[in-house]
Amino acid sequence: MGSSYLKNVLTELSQRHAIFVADLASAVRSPHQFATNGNAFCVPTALTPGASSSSALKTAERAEYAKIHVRVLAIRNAIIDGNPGVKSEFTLTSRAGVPISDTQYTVLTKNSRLCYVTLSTDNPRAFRRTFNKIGGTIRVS
Amino acid sequence: MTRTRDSILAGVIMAVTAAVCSCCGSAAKPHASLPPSPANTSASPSSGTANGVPAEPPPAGYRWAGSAAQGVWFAIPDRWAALNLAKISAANAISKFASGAWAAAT
Repeated sequence: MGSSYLKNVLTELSQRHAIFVADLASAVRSPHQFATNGNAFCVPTALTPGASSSSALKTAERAEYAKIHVRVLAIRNAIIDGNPGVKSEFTLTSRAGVPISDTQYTVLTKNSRLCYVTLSTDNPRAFRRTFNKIGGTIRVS
Repeated sequence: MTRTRDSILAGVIMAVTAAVCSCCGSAAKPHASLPPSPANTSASPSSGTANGVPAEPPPAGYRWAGSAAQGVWFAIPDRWAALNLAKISAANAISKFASGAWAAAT
């Protein structure tokens, strides 16, 4: 794992002005030394909130997940901070062979932005409540 | 950088990569192909923020992470570290992570 690769990844997140969070202590308890983590950023979209926007988001996300070959566990419509959104849960295997569970919240804001909050762990049982609690606090403006 | 630190770093990298890939695709698809919704009235006003910052306190044992510039906030457990990558370069983020100084870099 080269530092240039890490730099590329962080640069990509930086270009999106992302927020990156992590429970560094979780890596100590992890058999894979995996730090449970998350990120958040928003991008403009042509979508506007409406009665069909959650369904449209759900359909689009399912198609995108298929492209990157993740195993989708659930995709549900959600109201997030009063906005239409989607909560997705999926699993994937890292290049290092570590099984990762992701929970991703997608929010369509009133000013036509899509905000993503993505949480990743190798210990979904331990972090399920934490992820749900974090999801319940998402605020967009 | 210790072996343990390398392993932790690797774990984070993988997760971020996965998240970024899925996010990028999800973000691009609706922009390109989804029809606008016929109504623009279903979303109730977002009342959780004031001037782009959450007005209410986070849950006990949690603190806010986010960005007024991005317009997205969420509460994380107090023990978690947070980085605003709009305010720190990728190189600095790597440096802080490698040195163990990241926890304070919120």
